[in-house]
Amino acid sequence: MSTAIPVRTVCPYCAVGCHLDLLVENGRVKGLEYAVDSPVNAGRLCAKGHAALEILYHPDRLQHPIQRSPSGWKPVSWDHALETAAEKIRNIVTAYGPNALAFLSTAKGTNEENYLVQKLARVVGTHNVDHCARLCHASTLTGLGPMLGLGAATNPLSDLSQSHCLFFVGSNPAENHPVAFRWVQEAKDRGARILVADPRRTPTAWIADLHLPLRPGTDLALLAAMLHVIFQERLQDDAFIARRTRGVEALRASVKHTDPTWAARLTGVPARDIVRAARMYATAPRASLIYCMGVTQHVVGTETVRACADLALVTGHVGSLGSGLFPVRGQDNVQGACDMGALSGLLPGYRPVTDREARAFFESAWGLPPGALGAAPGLTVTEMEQAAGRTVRGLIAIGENPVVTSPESRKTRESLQRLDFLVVVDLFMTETAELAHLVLPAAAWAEKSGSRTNTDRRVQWSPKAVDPPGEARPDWKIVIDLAHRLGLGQFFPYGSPEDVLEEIRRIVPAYGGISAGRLSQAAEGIAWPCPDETHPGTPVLYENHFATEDGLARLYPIEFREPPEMPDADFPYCLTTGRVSLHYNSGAMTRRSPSLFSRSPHLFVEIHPDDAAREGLRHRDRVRLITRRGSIEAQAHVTGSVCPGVLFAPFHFPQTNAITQNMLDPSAKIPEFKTAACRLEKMEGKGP
Amino acid sequence: MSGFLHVDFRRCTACFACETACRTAHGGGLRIQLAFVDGLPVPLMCRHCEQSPCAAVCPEHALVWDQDHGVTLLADRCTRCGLCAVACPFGVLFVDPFAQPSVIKCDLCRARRAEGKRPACVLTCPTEAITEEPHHSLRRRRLTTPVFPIAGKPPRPFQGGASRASRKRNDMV
Amino acid sequence: MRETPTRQRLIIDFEKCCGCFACAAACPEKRIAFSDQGTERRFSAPGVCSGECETCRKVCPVDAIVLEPFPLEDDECHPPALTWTLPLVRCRRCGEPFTTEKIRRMTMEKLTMLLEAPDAVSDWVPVCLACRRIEEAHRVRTATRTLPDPLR
Repeated sequence: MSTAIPVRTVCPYCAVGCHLDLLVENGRVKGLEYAVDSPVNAGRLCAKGHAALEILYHPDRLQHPIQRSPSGWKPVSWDHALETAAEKIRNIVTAYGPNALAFLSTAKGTNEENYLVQKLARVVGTHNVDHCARLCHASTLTGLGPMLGLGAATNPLSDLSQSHCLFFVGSNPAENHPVAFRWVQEAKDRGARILVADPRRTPTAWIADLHLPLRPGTDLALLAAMLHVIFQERLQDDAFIARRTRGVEALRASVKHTDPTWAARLTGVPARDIVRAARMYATAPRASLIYCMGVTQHVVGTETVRACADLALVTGHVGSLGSGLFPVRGQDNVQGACDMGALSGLLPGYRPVTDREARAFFESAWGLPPGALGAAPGLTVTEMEQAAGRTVRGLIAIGENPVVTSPESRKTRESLQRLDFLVVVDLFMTETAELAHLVLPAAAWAEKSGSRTNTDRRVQWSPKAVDPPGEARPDWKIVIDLAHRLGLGQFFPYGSPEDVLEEIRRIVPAYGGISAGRLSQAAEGIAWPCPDETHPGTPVLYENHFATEDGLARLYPIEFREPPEMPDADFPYCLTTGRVSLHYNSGAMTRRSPSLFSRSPHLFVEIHPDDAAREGLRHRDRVRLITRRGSIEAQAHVTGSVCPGVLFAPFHFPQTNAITQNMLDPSAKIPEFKTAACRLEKMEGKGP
Repeated sequence: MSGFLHVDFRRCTACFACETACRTAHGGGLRIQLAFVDGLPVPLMCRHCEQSPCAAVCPEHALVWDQDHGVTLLADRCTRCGLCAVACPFGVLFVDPFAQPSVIKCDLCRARRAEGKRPACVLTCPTEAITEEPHHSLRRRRLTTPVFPIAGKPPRPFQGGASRASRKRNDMV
Repeated sequence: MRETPTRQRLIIDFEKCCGCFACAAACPEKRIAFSDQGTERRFSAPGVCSGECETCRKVCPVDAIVLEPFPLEDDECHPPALTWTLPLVRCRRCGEPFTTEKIRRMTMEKLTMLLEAPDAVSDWVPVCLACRRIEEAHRVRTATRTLPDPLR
């Protein structure tokens, strides 16, 4: 028998937060055991979870700090690397001021690490700290925050199994959160109705009772028409509206003319189906609305998020078991990174930087002189990239790969090349790291301890199982060491992630009762808000009142706007992007996993058979996709599961975002990833 | 008899968890894989046919069928000639002449079962599309949840007697 | 390696050989090789080998190999290395070559004789493995009427 000791860690991929039991023997992970007794995943894992070990011992893992030199990359000592970084940072601050620096924190880091990164940025004197939530759920924060009080999921995902009606808008959990999909399937087994609004017939839509294949970017029209039907047929929950919300009259007036016939013209969904969907959702005793990137990644992201919340509020489907609003997060700790204030406009605990009281609180808590924190929000991810090489001279990117993830990546690449100093902390030599001056090797999930917050707001502790390879170090240690070299050691007196969590507990009220000791005992973690040690946590939000000042939710009127770039004669197709089940975000990890990559090795583009026939394309032909921003090559997948006129490409390959749009939602600053006018050209020869 | 796998492909979401789980459990090789038709998946693995074409063509009788284990490979008899792969009607049996084991096919996770564990694909499937449930409970679940029509002709190649195995123990109810 | 006391000559009946790779997999010295080139499977084997084992002869499913003792000293009339090729057959569905013509015929005959459903055999034997899976998926989806129409 083997003597391996199982160590229960939290999976490093999506936001479901599955448990992975690693079998550790002689300081090495020997294998994976299914966490059968875990309340989160009950032993289930998706393809990516299984392949996680391939990342841990991947031969491409960075093992030493490396510095760019005229003769190429040369390995350097940590001492030298940190001293160089500190010196460059000091020089930039002296020459241009602290706002010439920008920090990219990471949703793949722990809460503690995100807290440290934002604290470092703010202690240095800038709010230029942000992370990839800007590219996924920024519009949830700006949309839901003022309406409900918090920009987070109201219920745990396991509640989905208790719903009578599940309405998915631009969300595809079957591929993106496969382990959570069992709760959807469970609801379906109990007879729940499944509604899916998506331009593609995704695996989620396969089990739908009603699929609404709408044109990309017209979600707002669909939701407005559903609200119109609900008010028209008096399906709203008047008691709930009267008792718990404000602003219903303005909302009602705004959807007075948005009837299903109007929406049918815009969305391409038959009016009859819109009416059926509205009836199903509104009349279900318990209903859940689940939305994801299909809603948020638009210039009208904030408005669409608000329309989703309006729909949930007027039907009273918020704040009880099986009734909730689920902005499902994509990454293991994107919720936590937001909670920790790794955002340009928000301090830890979602305190706005524009709030004088909040600033004063943090100044005194961190021991900074009064007035040290600026009153203006810093730059967001996309703004940093635009300002790079201009007002921003130095960028510290931790676990982020903007060259792949940001829209119109050619521009991103050019601007990053203009920087005086770019340091990248990552597991691998990513496309962004190739442009850096200094690359620091980081520890992977199993090589560091820390807490992570999943999409249920559930904080889980993931202990260290093994040592990092070579000289790689955990992010928290790198940030603390860098702070000490910058002469800011007094602000960073931490010896371990546990110490950092203690400070977070003092500073972020929602985490008040979440201690490392308690977390390591709690099998499924603790859902914030958890104000003190005796509090059991809050799995379901807003049961009695909303987190707004007066406890009432705000309803927002809806104003429809068309996507900024509609298909036209030159660019007749609408290109939309998304995830596939075998890959993950920028693909830095999954494209290096042999078992995942071997099953999905090419960038492909899905095209409707009618469109394919018109373009003379056959399955697996090579095509060139051309937008106003550039062109890329892909393999054509002819499938009836996309609407005519719509093309779909996954964004895990570096090419895809070369041609997406860099238009931003004015308040959330989230780019319009999901629509781009596009044309096709057939290329010679079969696909790769 | 128990332990045969039932696949309800209508619950399959093409997440590929079974494939990677199987690979992890066996240290490589695709013993279960998703076949796609019009973008829709059907998980396919050895069906442990009672009248197995693979066993029928094996010159050394290295593949044997029995009630409890389905089609089993007796590795010491196998000459790696590869005829079984050509005979398999479902294309789910592979022979790599220079690898060990040479015949790659679903063994119902024999090794895991010996340790008292469930087959990797069954354990990991997020939607319970692959189960070990005996027949009657699978049927009962369908009846209580009339979401999908209970349909089912057996697959074509196994008409008549040869279809017994696949009709009995595989995905059609 | 120990010096071998005797040697033996390989005599292969190219007419009998079906083109499987049992001998190639079995040879402890890995001296029998095969590779698929275009629509042919090419084999190569030494004319004479060390002469201790009979593995290849034993594993051959069609008894195409005969081994004869070969005098150790007789270097004068060293038999030349053997090479032979067998035609591959293309998949009826995708057109890719996947096995030899002979193996396909043998499998067809054997299954037709042994299975109770002789007609069904011709449904899958002429099809390559990947296409069999696709056809099976198609059958299953058609039988259960779970093939959707394209979106409109």
